[in-house]
Amino acid sequence: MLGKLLKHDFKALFRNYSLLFAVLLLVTLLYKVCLLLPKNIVLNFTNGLMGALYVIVILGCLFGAAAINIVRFYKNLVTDEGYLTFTLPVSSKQIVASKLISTLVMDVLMAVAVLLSTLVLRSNLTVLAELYQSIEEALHQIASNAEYRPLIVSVVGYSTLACIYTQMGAFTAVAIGQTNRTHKIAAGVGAYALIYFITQCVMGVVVLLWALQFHLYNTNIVITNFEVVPIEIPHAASGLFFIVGAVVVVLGVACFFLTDYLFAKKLNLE
Amino acid sequence: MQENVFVCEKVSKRYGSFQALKQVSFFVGKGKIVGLLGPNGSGKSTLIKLANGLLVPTEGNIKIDGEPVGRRTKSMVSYLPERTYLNTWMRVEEMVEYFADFYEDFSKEKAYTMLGELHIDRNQRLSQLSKGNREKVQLILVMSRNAKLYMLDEPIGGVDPAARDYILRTIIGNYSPEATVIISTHLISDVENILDEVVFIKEGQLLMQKDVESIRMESGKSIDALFREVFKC
Repeated sequence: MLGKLLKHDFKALFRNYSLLFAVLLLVTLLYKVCLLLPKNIVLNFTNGLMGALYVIVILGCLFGAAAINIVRFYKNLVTDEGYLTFTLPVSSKQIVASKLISTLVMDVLMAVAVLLSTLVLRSNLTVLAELYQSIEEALHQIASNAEYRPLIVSVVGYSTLACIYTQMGAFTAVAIGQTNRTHKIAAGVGAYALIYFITQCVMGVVVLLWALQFHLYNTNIVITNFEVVPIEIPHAASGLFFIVGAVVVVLGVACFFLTDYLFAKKLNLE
Repeated sequence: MQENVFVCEKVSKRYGSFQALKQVSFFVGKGKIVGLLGPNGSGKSTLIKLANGLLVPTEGNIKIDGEPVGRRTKSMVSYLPERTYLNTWMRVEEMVEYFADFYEDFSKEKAYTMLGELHIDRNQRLSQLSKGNREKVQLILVMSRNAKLYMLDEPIGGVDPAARDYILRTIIGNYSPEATVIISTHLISDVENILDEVVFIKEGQLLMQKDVESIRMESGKSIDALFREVFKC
């Protein structure tokens, strides 16, 4: 049944995302054409406007994708459509899992689309060309320096997990909000603020404990060996990212089960 | 011994300080068409939503074919809510596919036959249909299942008298004699001829559950007349 849910969720999401993809493609191609034309005063002005429009479209695509994900989750589960969704012979775990997987895949597709768009404009835009050059140099440096590899793996891993957790946290907020009789949206926004606050507190404590342990460790080395040991920043930082990554996984799993519990035991489609 | 398809045991539902249902207990046997009757706000829709897992009872429990409300009962119950729950951006055909994907007991053939009878274009988007036609599509989808229990919440509430006749004919003509139908409505005169039993609910409490024939024999009144007498304002 999860496969069937995914099929219909992808279909619905792709319909919503298609407008964003179309606008991104159109603006990218228009900008590319403008950049290829011979330069003159009028075109320089047009290129300036197109550049601003391009940035707005990129931001619009990223924020639009996040808005689509949350609005569709809310509409499909908590409004009239929820009467159909929750009378399907599937478990609420499957419903939540399907929504999470489909939105994450669409998010990745959107990120790839934005990346491809910048690659198309790379050769004609100095800013993008320099940015890509810096990235390439950094990657080259990492490839030649083994001690940076764990740091990069942990940063990329943590960023991915944080994206998944952010999405799951928003779903949990909707699930908490629907338990309120009269102000479901306001309660959902409040719940999201609370989830964010709790996350920041937990992260704060974890980082503080890590910093304290790191400080004590280095102090200990100095005292016992009577010599100054250089702090291994890349190694220490990658350790921190692995720890916060693990915390995000625990919080994300907790959010998933809380969302499932609220829909299974506290569903309130009055 | 007759099998009970629907069993409701001491079910209460409270919304904050408002008590929507108070210790409601009754059961419905296999193959019956039962009218769940009561004025607006009496708790009919709440009871049906509880039976479909859209609400959770504060107390008591509901069993369908011996199973507590959950994933298994959802595959046995065909539910028509009092509002339009279809994804309006979908075409009629896509909605039929959606039902066929999730409900093993759904008959596409039956659905397309009924859609044809009502001259509803399968390629039309639901958003392009009138409210009445959308309700008909919804009813067709629900009645195209070969379910054990049909729970129809106000199926004739928002449609014209001619459409009411079609809807009632659809209900009668499309459920298997083995199946049970629970119809919630306050339009008694339109449905009383098809009912085997009635359950009267007032202010969240069960007033009466009786065989339609017994009511007519004992009181000499129609269900509609009895309803007006019991729920007189």
